[in-house]
Amino acid sequence: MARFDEISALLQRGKAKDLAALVTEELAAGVAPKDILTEGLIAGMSIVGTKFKNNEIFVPEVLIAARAMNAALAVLKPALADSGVEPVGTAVICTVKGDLHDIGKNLVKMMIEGTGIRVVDLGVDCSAEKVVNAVVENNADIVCLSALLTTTMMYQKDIIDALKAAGVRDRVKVMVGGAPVTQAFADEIGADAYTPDAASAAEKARSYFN
Amino acid sequence: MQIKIVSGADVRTVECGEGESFLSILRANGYDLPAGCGGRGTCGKCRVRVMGGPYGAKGQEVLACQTTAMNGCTVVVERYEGGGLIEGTAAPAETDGEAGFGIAIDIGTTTLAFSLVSLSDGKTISRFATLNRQQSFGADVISRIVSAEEGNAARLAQCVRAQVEEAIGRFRAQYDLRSVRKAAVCGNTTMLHLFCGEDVSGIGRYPFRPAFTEYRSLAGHELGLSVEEIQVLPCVSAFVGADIVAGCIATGVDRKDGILADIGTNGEMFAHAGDRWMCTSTAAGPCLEGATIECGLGGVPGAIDSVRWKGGKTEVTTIGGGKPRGICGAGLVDAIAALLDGGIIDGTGAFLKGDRFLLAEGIFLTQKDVRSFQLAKSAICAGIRVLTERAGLSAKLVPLWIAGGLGYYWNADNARKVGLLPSENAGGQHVVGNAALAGTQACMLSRAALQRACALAARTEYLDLSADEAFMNEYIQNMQFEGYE
Repeated sequence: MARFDEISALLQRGKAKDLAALVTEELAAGVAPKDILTEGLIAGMSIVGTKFKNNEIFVPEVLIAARAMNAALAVLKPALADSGVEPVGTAVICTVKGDLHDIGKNLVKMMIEGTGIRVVDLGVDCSAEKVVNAVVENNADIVCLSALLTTTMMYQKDIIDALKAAGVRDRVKVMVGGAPVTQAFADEIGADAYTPDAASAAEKARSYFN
Repeated sequence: MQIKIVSGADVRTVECGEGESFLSILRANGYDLPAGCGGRGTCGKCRVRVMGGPYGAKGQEVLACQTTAMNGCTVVVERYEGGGLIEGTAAPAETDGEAGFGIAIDIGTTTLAFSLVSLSDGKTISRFATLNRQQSFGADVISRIVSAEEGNAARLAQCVRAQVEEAIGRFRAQYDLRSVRKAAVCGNTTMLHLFCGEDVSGIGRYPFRPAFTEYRSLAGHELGLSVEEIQVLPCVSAFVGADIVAGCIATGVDRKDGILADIGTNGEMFAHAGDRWMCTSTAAGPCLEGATIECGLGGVPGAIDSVRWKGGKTEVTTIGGGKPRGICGAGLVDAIAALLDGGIIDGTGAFLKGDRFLLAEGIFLTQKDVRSFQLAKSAICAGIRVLTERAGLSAKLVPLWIAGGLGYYWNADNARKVGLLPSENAGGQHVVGNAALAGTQACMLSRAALQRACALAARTEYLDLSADEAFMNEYIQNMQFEGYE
């Protein structure tokens, strides 16, 4: 009997060591790596996401849970590779040029990773050129752009324009977010989606692969 | 077309253009309506009552920024009286003994503070504060910068200069002064740029380069002010302005080891450790001034300014003692402490039951409010901690000066309890109020003090926390409430 609920619970409480140990045990017991990932870890991360969205838990708890997720993935990844499980897709994420805020971007990154998508993080103060190159090199499916300043949000549009100019705009879904960004702004600059928080961003990103 | 504006007993009929929003009409006619989001329809603070036409005789509440005026309608605005702190403690300073009068001015993002001084003996004759009318262009410096870039730069400059000129006129009339010799001005870097008519766009984005930081001496007529000379005090960087520099002079922290923290929308901090002079700033956001809090209010009559947990419920007091209309920053600090003591929220900041708590009739705190507060308080505290460490100071030994209105009015024990201030400085905290105004006054009175300010601005290094890993760790760790389950 696999212990998915226990895995999910340990993840939610951010018990990195105990979680990694339990995942190791489960693998030894012959549970399929893919099931540990989806029914244990991703299920747990999705509960974390919902609670965060409802303000029930906050940034520190999400980060602690994400740290536990990483510890578990470190154990799980070789087994996943051996059993031929691939990430469902690839997302490129960054905070745009002129902007150094990275906490929100990091939260989104961790939550998206928590859904089984590979994430390439380009960091902060990121130019359009860097985004375009990363999309091409990684054959990305999704581009996530964060801007926390009203002075830098317009750069999200510059990046979308650069993707168009490079002829890769239609290959990717562009998601935008950050405190000053709204749905109306996302529509205006031609983004595919706006999400108000990290959990919704992860849900949205995952929905592109359903 | 015409509309009627009612404000208290004052009724005016004004001309306005087709398709103009109430906010823009009210702004054009000199009404100081708060619009924290800069008219984007998200902060909800520019609510007004409109009557006539589709709104009926009884009227309806609308957001002034989102609503287009119609011919013949009536709009009712509440009066927003100026508040703001003018008291400041300053180390005794020398006076050069010039003849005549001078005005020290602190241009804050929210409040302008003025002090009329006799230059010969350094005596303060009168002080007052008023709300910065630029608020209707946005609550924080970034929204002002955006507004300036959208073509309002000249209007923003005009706005603050007009308020300064009014203050000069008010002092002259009140004390029957023939002339005012000079005005010395401090403020954050953005406010001083707008005042001087300099381009602010460099401050708005990385690498955050201001157009100028050095001391300026101008003739009054250059800015259209009726004083002979205007002294604009020096800034350190885009986010550490002349207000902090002046605060350092007032507290004398440039002469001995210690830390000065000015706590408001931004937490600006300065540390002096032997040969090291260091400063930084953290973005706390406007939450501590009530702007992102559902029932938040500035420090005006009716704002809850203290909260106590007693016998299983909260007891509140308000500014002026009247019926609670909202909650200000000092009240918020107390309220969070009370909710922790009462076990209403736990150490992670989560409500144990429900998602809001009623503090007084019609005034409540929501889960989201608590979350905004957690972000703000943690930014301030983490900033002080990391700066202390980087400067090589020991928090237990050096004094910490707290400047700004919030620190003047709050309960310091509660500020430590909720983790806004580091608990390790418990022994040596001094509250100095509006140190910026006191320091500006000192620089106006004495060449020596002004030279100290210029030396300090020139040699202080800026510590950028936004890319600092130690700060991030501290920031995240401190978001919870230490000592609570």
